[in-house]
Amino acid sequence: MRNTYLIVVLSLVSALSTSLYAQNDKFNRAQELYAAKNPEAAKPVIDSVVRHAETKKDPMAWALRGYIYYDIYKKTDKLKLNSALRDSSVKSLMIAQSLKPDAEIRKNIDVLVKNYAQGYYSIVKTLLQDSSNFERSQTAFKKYKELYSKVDSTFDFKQKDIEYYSAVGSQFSDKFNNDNTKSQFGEIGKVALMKVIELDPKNISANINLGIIYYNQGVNLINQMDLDTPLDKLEIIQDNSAKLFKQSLPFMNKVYQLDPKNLKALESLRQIYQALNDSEKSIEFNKKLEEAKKAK
Amino acid sequence: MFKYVIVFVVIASGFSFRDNVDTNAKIKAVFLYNFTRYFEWPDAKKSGNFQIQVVGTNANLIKELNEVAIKKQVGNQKIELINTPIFDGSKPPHMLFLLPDASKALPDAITKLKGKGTLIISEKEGAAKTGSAINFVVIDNKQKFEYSKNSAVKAGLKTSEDFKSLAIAVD
Repeated sequence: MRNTYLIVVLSLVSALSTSLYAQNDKFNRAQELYAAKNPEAAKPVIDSVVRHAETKKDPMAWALRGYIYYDIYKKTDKLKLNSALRDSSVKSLMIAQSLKPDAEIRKNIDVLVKNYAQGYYSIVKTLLQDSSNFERSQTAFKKYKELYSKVDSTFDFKQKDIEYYSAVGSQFSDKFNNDNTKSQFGEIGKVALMKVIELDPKNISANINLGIIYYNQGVNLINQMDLDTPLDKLEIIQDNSAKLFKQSLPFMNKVYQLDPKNLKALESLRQIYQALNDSEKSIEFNKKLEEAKKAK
Repeated sequence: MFKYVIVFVVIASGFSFRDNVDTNAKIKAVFLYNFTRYFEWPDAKKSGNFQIQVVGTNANLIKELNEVAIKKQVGNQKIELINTPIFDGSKPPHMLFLLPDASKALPDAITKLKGKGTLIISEKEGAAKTGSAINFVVIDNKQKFEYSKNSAVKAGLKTSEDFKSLAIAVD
């Protein structure tokens, strides 16, 4: 009876050892394939390793899975906003980190996650500059921040936020200013520039661009007016355009306060006051503009 | 092991006004064209071109009014825009607009054009009380106009009561 019991126990230990050795073999195989730059072949092997009970808590296995998926992602999904490969890789790397690997692995994982974050930032740029897709660029920017904060929880994103929203503001205000039918671009530009000013009230470029959007919106109302516009409607149009001209004033005045020789601010103030039928102030700023031009 | 590159999103900052648009000129052009709807000119002036004479300098307004002349008519009459530096009164137009730099000519215009079917328009403080039928003024940053029905009647024009309600009436 005692012998039988011993045989059973040894058999179990042997089976477990065989299984563990098998998983180690698979891990080694996946590592070889990865090193041989064949991540596609390594993928199913490492998947089976991390699923197995014996190795599912091995940080090395999860880290290797993250690297393998990263190599495939680089080839096919680098420019995609949504990528299952990227998601699986990041998830694997995060699991590996939670299982407390050694310092060298931890460091490499952090670098790779930062690399993913920078990948999102590249996508932000592409979405903005190539396709002017604000919503998708905003999603990419959010993902960039989420990933970056996973490896550097103390990172201050203020400058990045200013950089991103300034880029959005410039891009969309340019589009609106160059084509008055694109009022939705003007609205996106306004929201983005407001965000910049909220973060950095003295940001000259944001103040000027926001002021110009409001001014141009006022001009659009008048430009789009038909010659047959009845007098009572003309009154309403003037009311609305004057409101927009007045909304542009504080932003231009802010720039003027910060930099009294700023040519853009002086030119803007001249134009805005002219649109507001305030010829005295328009002439005053025109004089200041000419003086500033001479001084430069 | 992995190298990453920081990619800055740098886009040229935009600065573009709407082609230095003179909104006041556009608004005045719409006003002037509107005025043609509220008056009836004497029979003698119902044939030939409808003449709008602008005295003084305002290139942007002239440009806008040229657009009006190209695109619009007054009844069956084509609009003819005449821009002169001074007023001589030799040929009474349907509408005479004395720009601020020509407002000194107002008394002369009132005298020479009395009863000749010319709507006199000015842009000078108090002008509606001294013989101009319509005078542009700025109130609360907006372009408005004063109206003297008496002056319009003296000029030989039939007027609409609706018009008075849209204006700042001076009599």
